[in-house]
Order: sequence, then C-alpha cells, then structure tokens
Amino acid sequence: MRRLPIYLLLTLAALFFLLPLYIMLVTSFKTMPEIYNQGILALPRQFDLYAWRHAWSGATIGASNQGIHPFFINSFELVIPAVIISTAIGAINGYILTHWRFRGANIIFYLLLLGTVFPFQIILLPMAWVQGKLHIAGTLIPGLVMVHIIYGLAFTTLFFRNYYVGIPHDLVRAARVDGAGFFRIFWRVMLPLSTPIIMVTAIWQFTMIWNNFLFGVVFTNSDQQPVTVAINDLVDTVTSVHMWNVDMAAALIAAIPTLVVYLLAGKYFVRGLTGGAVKG
Amino acid sequence: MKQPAKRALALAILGFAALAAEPALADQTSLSVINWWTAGSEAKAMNVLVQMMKAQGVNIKNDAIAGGGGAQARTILKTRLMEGETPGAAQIKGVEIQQWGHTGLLANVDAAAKAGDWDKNIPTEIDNYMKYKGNYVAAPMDLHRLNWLWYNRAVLAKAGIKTPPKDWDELIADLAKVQAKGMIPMAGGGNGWMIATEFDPIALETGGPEWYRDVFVKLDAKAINSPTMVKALERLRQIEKYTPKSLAGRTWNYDTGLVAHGQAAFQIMGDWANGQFEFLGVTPGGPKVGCVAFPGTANDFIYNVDSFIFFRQHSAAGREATIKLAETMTSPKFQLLFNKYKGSIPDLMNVSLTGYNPCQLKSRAQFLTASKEHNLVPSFSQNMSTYGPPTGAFIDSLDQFYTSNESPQAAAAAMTKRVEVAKSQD
Amino acid sequence: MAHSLMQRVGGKDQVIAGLMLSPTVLAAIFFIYAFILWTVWLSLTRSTILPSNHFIGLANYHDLFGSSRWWRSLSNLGIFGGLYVAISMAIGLLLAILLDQRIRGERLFQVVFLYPMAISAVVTGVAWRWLLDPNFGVQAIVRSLGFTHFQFAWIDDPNFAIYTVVIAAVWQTSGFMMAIFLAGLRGISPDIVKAARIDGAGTLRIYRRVILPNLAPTFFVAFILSAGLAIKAFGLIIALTGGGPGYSTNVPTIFMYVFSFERGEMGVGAASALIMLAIMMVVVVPFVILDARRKV
Repeated sequence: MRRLPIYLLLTLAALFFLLPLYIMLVTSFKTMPEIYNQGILALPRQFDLYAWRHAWSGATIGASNQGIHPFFINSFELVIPAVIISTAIGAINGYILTHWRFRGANIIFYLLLLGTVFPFQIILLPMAWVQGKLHIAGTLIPGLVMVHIIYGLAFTTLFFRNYYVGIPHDLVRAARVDGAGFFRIFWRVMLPLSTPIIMVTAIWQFTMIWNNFLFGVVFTNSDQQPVTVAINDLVDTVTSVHMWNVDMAAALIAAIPTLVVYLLAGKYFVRGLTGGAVKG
Repeated sequence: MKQPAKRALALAILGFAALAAEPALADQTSLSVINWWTAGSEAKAMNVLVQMMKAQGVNIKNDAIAGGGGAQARTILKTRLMEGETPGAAQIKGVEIQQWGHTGLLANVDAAAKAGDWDKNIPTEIDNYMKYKGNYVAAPMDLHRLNWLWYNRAVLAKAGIKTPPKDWDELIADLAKVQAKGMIPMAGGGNGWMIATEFDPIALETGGPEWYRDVFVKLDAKAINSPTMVKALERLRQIEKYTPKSLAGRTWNYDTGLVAHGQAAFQIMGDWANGQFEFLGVTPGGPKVGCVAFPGTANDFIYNVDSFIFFRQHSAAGREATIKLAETMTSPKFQLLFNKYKGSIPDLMNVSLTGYNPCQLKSRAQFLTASKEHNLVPSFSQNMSTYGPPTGAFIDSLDQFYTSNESPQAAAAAMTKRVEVAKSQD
Repeated sequence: MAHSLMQRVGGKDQVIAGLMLSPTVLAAIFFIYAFILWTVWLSLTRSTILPSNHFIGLANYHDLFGSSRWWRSLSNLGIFGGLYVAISMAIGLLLAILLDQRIRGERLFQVVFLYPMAISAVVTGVAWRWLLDPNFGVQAIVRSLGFTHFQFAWIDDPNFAIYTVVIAAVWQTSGFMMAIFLAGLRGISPDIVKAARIDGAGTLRIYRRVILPNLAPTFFVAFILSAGLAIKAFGLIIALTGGGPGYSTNVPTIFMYVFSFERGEMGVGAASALIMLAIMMVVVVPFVILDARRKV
C-alpha cells in the first residue's frame, strides 16, 4: 500500500479543516447550561433546536425582533444582481483586453490590478459622499449593489482576461472574416467557451459579496443590512447578554448558501481554474 | 456548454433593468437614531422608545449597529454625514459631545430641557456634558456606576469569608483565600476595554477623587507620572495575579457567568452586569450574588452616562420631532423602563425606583451622597473624562502594561509620554 | 502574435471595444485613484472626527511614526503576512499534489478543503476563538487525554497571539490555494511529463525539474491573491482577537479603522492607509513587472 501515506495525510488535513465546523454544529444544538458545563467537543445530550429557531425568527437584532431571516433575504437581493452584473462586465472587459488589444491595454490592466489588493477602508468616506450626491445612500439596491460591482470589477476582469488569453486569436479572426462584429463574436465565439470561467467568477463573487461585512455595515440602513451585519449585531455586543448557541446557529444559517454553492459547484471551481483563470 | 452562458448574460441584462426600475428610497418625515444597542434587552428598550415616539406621530428609524463600544456606529455616523443624510440623533457621550458641538451641526434642544426641567431634575454634573456653549445639544439616557465588586455568596462562604471586603488589604486576603480553595478568585482580564474598566476603580481607590480628576480629566503630567500611579499599577498587577490568564479573550458576560454559576468569587465590572445576572436567573443583591462598592470607594461614584446628540434638521417638522425625541428620552416613563433593563439608574433624581433591584437602589443612594461630598468622578474607561486620543493613550498604556512584563515605573512614564502626544492631537 | 493584424482590421469594432471598456476605466480612475488622492489630502489636514481642510503638512505622519501601536501593527503585518502567505501556499501546493495522484474521493476532499472559504470571517473568528481558548479548546482537549502539562495558550499571550491569527487565516484560505495549484497542475501538458518519464526521471525529479518550473505563473497568481488577502485581513482578526490582547494583534487595517472612525483621528488614519498602500505597491509591483517581462 504505497498510497496509504497519501490518504493518511489527506484525512488528517480534512480533520483539521472540519474541526471548527463540528464545534459550531454541536454548540448550536446545546442549551446554555450545557455550554457552560461541558467540553466543546462533547455531543449535546439532546438535540435542542431552540437556538436555531430563535436565531432564524426570534432574536432581537437592532430594530427587528424577527431573527436573522429578514437580513438573510436582504443578502440574496444584494448578491444576485451584484454577482451577475460584475461577472458580465468582467467578461466583456476580459474579451476586450485580450482580443481587441490596443496601445495601453496592458497598462489599463495593471491599473485595474491595484483594485484587487488595495485596502477598502480607504473608500468608505469618499464613497459615502458619492452615494449622497447620487441620492442612493443607505440603500441595498442600488447603493450597496453598486459598491460591490465597482470593487468586484478588478477581480472579474482579471479572471476573464486570464482565461480569454488562452483562446486562440484564429477563432476570432475566422469569425471576423465571416463578417461578425464585436458583439456577435462575443456572443457566438467567446461565451459558448466561457462556462468554466463564468462558474469560477460567479462563485468567487458570490463568496466575496455574501461574506462581506465592511461595505454592508457602512452603506446600508438598518432594515436593509445583509446577513453578515446582522450576525455581527448579534455576536458583537458589549453590554448585553450573550447566547453562544444562538450565535453559532445564526452563523451557520448565514453560511448555508455559500456552503451549498461550494457543494454543488465546487467541482466547477477547480475545473474552471484549470481552464486557465490562473494562468498568469 | 452554450446554453448556460447565454442564459447568464440574459439574466445580467434583466439585472440591469431591475436596477433601473428600483425607486429611490426617501422618507423625509422620519428621524434616524444611530446607536449600538443591537441585541437583547438593550435593543428591546430602544424599540420601546420607537413605540413611544410613534404614539406622538414621529417615525423613528432605529439605526442600531453593533461593535466595539460604538466603533462601528461612529463609522456609520460619519459616513451618513458625508452622504448628506443627517441623522436625527446619535449615541455620543462625554467630552466628545463638545467636539461635535464644534462642528456646528447640532440642534438646540433647550425647549425639551425646559419642559422636563432638566436643570432641577438632572444632576448638574450630568447636565454639563449635555450643553455646548450654554445650550442643550444632547440628552442623557442612563446613569451607570463603574466601581462595583460583584461576588458569589456561596464561593465566599466556602472560602471562609464572612463579609465582602471593605478595603484593599481585605480584598487581597480574600482573593488568596479563594485561590487556596482551588476556585477562580477574580473573573476578568481580556481586551483593552475590560482592563481599563477594571483599572478605573483601582485607580480611584489608590489616589482618591482629586488625584483621579488630575490624571484623567486634567491630564496633568505630574499626576500621571507619580508614585500614586505606580502604586495603582502595582495593584492592577496584583489583581492580574488572581485572574486566570486563560480568561483573556473572553467577554465580560462570560466572566459574569462564572460568578453567577459559582465558579469564580469576584468580578470588577460596571452595573451593566445587572442585566447579565438577571438573564442568568440570579438577582444581584439577592441570595446568590451580592454587590458591594469596590473596596475603599464606598463614598465615591465613578459614573458613565450614555447620551444622544441631536442634529439640526432642515424642516420645521423635523425640528419639532427632535424636541419630542429629547423630551421622550428624558421622560420618567422611558427612563424608568430603560434603566431597569440596563442595570443602571435614571438620570432623573425625582422619580422613585419601584421594581429596581437592591444594587440599583444602592447605586442611587450612593450617587446622592457622593454628589454632595464632591466624590463623583467621570469614568475614563467609558470615554467620560476626556477626548478620544488621550483616552486611547491611557487604554493603550494599560494594555501594554497588563500584557507584558513592563515595570509599573516604566508604564507610568510611558503613559505620561503617550498622553502628552495625544494631547497635542486635539 | 496576431495583434498587429487585429489592429489593422479593427475599424468600427475597435471603437466599440474602446467604448465598452471605458466605463470600467473611468470607474477605476475615479473610484480607486481619485479616492486615493483624496486620502492623500486628508492625511495632510487636521481632520479629527470629520474631514477638515485645515492643512498641517506632515504632522499626521510624524504622529503616526511616533506611535508604538503603529510600529507594532507594521511588525505584526510582517510576521502575519510572511507566515500566512508562505504556509498557505505550501499547504495548498502539498494538498494539490496529493490530490493529483488520482485518488479516490477527490471531489469530497476538494469540498472539505474549500468550504472554509465559504464562511465569513465574522463566523470563522468565533469558532476559532473557542478552539484556541485554553479552557475549552485544544489545550483542554489534549489535557483530558492525559497529557496534563500540555500548554497551548497562544491566544492569551501577547507575544504569540499573532500566530493564532496565522492559524485561522491559513485554515480559511489554504483550500483556495489548493484549488489554484491543482488547476495549475492539471494545466500542465501530460506530454511534457511523459517525455521526462521516458528520459528515466523519477517522480521527485519530475516534480522538481519539470512540474514546479511550469507552475511559475500559478505561483504568481497564488502570491498576488494571498498577499492581497494578508494585507487586507480585517474581519477575521477583529472576530478572533479583537486586535488584542492589548494591541498585540493590531495590523495596519485595524489601526487605520480605529484611528479614523473610533478615535476621531481621521488625519492619522488617512496617513496610515497610505503607508499601507505603499507597502502593497512595494510587495506587488515587482511581481507585476516580472510578469509583464515574462509575457513580452
């Protein structure tokens, strides 16, 4: 069994990765006295669903006492348009930067690259000013959606550009010879080849936007806040009572959509990256 | 392969259309109230305020944002102002109110103060914070006491302690007794906020109210870099020795649980601990858990007052609503209800505290005595004594000291230097 | 390459391409570069609780570099950033190589390694705080197995707390690094490997001489992404240690946020943001230049 060490290493790594999830799960099913009196690895004596129910629809969060479910819905309203639009624009940008190259295309690309690494705290105040001027301050749609699209573009453009670099120019040239124009080539030649990279980009954007906290807390009014902000409201209170089982249940509920995306589409993620998203 | 990609693009176009169709949200008749009371009883109490205002025909948007003693809420306040979306009120307290007064953005709520007779019903010490250049620009919501020592009666009995400690030496002796029995003597430690909150009564006990004011209010370098400060820091170190290291990184709520459940003997914490004890099913001052003024400070009162500043509104209706809001926040009905939940006492001295627990009643009585004897001091750890930068300098220094092997002398010197730098930033 | 041809025949479509790209370019110029310029101005003013236009020169930078908290934040970024980038890339590469051995249950392993990416930092921080807590977590568990003197209380120790941040951050993103490296490995043409094998090279030698050199672009992407994540790390640290004990796990992002918004020292906060940006450029730009050279 030459391959045994490989499986052993992989299994050890898997345990390391699963440990926090396990702790969150068992804690969410415990009662408060159990949490105080038992080890964190211990299984709950009985599976108590109180924390899950309370987190979903009973906990008082800010102005609402309906638990995290209204915020959960907010997050969907945010993430769907933001992911679709930033992915679509990234696709077109990537297509232009690779197959309609002009002088300075590389410079533009490197300028955009800064957008993937610069600290977002910088933009809070000036962006607030802009949103005020546009009269969209404090809104989920279009205010927060706009912020996520703008600061997601650098990533989506990077992904599509690196993928489309691998598509032979001959394909585009042939289409041009057949009389196809800018949009027709994109629609007929590029898009049909793009499923893997669309999956990668969409998964990436979905994860980033769903899990984002900073923009959500700053750019939305309290009734429009995404679920990460609601979780923080619940978990991070200074002078109020604490229920760790509810904290954990709420945290798990907030993680479900991204977990589902990874479970269902995880294979596309690696396959899509293989397709060339990571080729420099 | 072809179909999913096309469908995605079609969806994108639909997304654009949906964006364009969404109407802008604008509700001019409502006032937003920015605060960091996001969960549990505090949030419930805020929602009572919302209901009371609704009954008067004013829509309140409860803008509650959690996090680090208001860090997040301040971020929101600043971004709202950048957006040009002036809030109705924001949870700002202590000396910072003067800084906001300086911006010229605040509303004059003298009318509310007159209607509620704040001058008479609210102690002058608190009133002074609420005024900018002689006019009321803020309203107080509660009155917290910092210098409390909470203890579990059963644990003390097990350690052979008959009465809670009355001075420093008794406290140290009691801590040793508890430790000898293998129980946690002091539940505490943790982040900067918690360390500073513990240091607050220790400093007062060591140096007395005069020295406390010289240090934390006047920021007098001679008082900071003094043998008294060295002694106070030595005492913080002594307390640290009786605090399990492993409690760092826990929250104060967790520590309160240890006292409530009989795993720890003592906790130094402000009276917001009342709410956590009640939640855990033990009434402070009842048969299980007791409260006593921090040893050596029975006649003193370190106070912390949460308050709201009001912003000038453009419309007459907005201005009228602002006055109503200030009146309601300081009305006996709201203050009695709110403070009962919060563990504090009302700012109004003319209301009787029916239904309050023994510790809260003691708090009111000792406030009145301390006020008469000039033994009231504003809490530095709760941002009451000075501006943000010097407060930060104190907390940073205590953090550094608590979490390293720094000597008390070196710490006092470093603290003096940090405070001097911070002073120049105003 | 065929670019020259494309340019000659471009015409009307070339104009459309330019038009379609311009909103992104304008957005980048305004929402990234103009905002940075505004921050530069802010850092030169006496801005406290709100922005002001009172020019005070470099005083904020003077205060910034006179602050021991800032120096601690910088050294923490060095420790955290260096270890995090190195370890997460190493684990990612190792897992990718293991998964690339045609093993059973590859998909399952992939999902298990990737899922931490799906969970927000606020949540991750809470779970890890419990695990690292000596009372409940790893220390207590190992002690209950009979090793009563086992010590693991880094999270309470100001000199070691920053390493717990490394652990949690590595946990969160090394699966992502695995995915990137796996993709890189799968992208290498099997012919090259086959050729090497025919030449009689062993597995180790193939990896060292053939596969790893071919992964150079993958290393570039993995480095850029992980360095970016390291410098931007914020929510995870806030949730895990709150920047403490004391300020022992402060990093520049936390420093900047606390000073700009909580403490009302906006000018100092802006100055710290720009230093952060400069560090980012120093780290990333050489790699970008290398990348550009490689392509030309």
